[in-house]
Amino acid sequence: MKIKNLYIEEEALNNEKALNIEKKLKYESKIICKNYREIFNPKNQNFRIQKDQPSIILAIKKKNLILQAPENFNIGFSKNYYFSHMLNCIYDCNYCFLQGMFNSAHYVIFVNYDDFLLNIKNKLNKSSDNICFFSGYDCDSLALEDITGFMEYFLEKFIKLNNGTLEIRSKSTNIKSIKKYDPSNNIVPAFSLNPECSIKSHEHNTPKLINRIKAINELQDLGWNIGIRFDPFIWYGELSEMSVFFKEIFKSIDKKRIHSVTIGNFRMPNSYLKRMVKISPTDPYILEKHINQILPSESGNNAESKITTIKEKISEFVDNSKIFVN
Amino acid sequence: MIHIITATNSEAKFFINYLDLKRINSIKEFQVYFNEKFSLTVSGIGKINSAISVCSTYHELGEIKNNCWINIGIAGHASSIIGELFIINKIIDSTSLKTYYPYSPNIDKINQLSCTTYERVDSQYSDSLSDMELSGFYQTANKYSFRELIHSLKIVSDNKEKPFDYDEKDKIEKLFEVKKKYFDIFFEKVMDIWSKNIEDEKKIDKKISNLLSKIKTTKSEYEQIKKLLKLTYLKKKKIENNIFMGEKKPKRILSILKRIL
Repeated sequence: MKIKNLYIEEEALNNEKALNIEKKLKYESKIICKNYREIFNPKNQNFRIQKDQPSIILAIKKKNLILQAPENFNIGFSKNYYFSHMLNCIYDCNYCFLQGMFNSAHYVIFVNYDDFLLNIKNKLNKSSDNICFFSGYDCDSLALEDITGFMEYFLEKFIKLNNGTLEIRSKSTNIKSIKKYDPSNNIVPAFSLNPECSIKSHEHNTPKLINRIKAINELQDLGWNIGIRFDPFIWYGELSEMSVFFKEIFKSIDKKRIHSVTIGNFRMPNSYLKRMVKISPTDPYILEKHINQILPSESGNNAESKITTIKEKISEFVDNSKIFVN
Repeated sequence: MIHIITATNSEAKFFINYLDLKRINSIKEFQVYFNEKFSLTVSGIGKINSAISVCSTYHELGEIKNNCWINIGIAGHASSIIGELFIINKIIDSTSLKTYYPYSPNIDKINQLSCTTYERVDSQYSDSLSDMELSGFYQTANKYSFRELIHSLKIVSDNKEKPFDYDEKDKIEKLFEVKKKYFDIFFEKVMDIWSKNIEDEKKIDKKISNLLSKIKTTKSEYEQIKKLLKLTYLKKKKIENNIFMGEKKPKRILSILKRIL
């Protein structure tokens, strides 16, 4: 992988994972920093400009490795946490909240993989309930796997944990790391899906729908139960056509090997949207969402009724107990 | 527009001639030169002078946010050959020990290096370039533009083997002239980033401001109409001059725009 610059925290210089990642990268300059925040956090950065040519920052995550998931963000577990071994994503979805949340589009890879596992074990040791851990909240879990090797390292260890379940959420078809292991009930590979026209307009640089389906098929054939994620679900067609879309989707995958289906609307704090308008001032989609928040339509917000309709349509193919609204 | 800041006349001379810049005589605090695409300000030596010159240039030239800013100058280095040109990717302020990481535009032909800004002439030399302005320039330019539009180019003028000789000031212009091709590449790349990400918005804003100047609004009505006009333009790729249909009342205009959208 070719990048412009490689930034490395002083503390990560001799980290084995960092050294492995460095070997896989072609870069022009290696720049040592004290803390990744020196590069990542300053205000007044333009996410859009950086996105054209991101650099990689190798860092050590010291605090808040595992965080409580937002309320309603669940796939059937009462306790939910999320973590991100990486900040930012190689894809460029124009609805993505990361553009509003982070000041920088550079990829931060936290190379202290062991510490993520240690923190997860601590949470599990303190709990009698099953806990679900979501990976890929601030990044795509698999998209940069060939460089990070995170899942390959992590799955081997996580599979052995008794009361923990791991969701690996991705749009990527790079499933090599999962295929290396036998199917496990406590690992849920989950794929975000949208109609192909929405993928083309909104999910730039991501795999086509058909290729995501192929990846799902491949894993299901190996015995994996898969999570299907329509979150956010972006639909431009008629409601009647929506049934045809879901029919096609659920016809092409093994319904018995679906772990769960989640549905979500586009949702974003206005502060994020404001920032996104500032850095993407000529993106009509972002501006329209921002305007809808500050000047709500007089006919009211029909987001909830939309979700109810989507859920009804999906329940024709999947048992209601497996459908979650996020 | 690209605003170039140099510390001395010797460093400015090449650019004034090459870019055919004209002096703005009405500005007395600094020597400021300009043409349609570039401005050049001679700041004087030191980071405070450099900081003030950025501030002054911004206010004198129309207070336009998100233009490109480039500090260009000479610097010392322990071992680099004299005349070598670098894009600065790390700035260290030797007094505050604060570090800044400028964005590196994608130009393979110019190498990158760090630069340390000193209060006094650095005769020690190190693996980082040494200058006396950059940290002041960078911090101030950050007030007026996105980081990705703020850069620094340094040419090695002296090293351990050949310390700086003040009698050879005339040779500085030559150092820059030799790298003419690389400056062209750099300016083109920076302008390309600016055009792609900033210029369109400025054009749209200008058109919208013209339309809005014809009506009286409160501040919040102004912002709301501005956003709806912008969305109309982005969706329809044009805005008719009579888009308000002769209406002057902001609430009615808002309804018209919502209907169009």
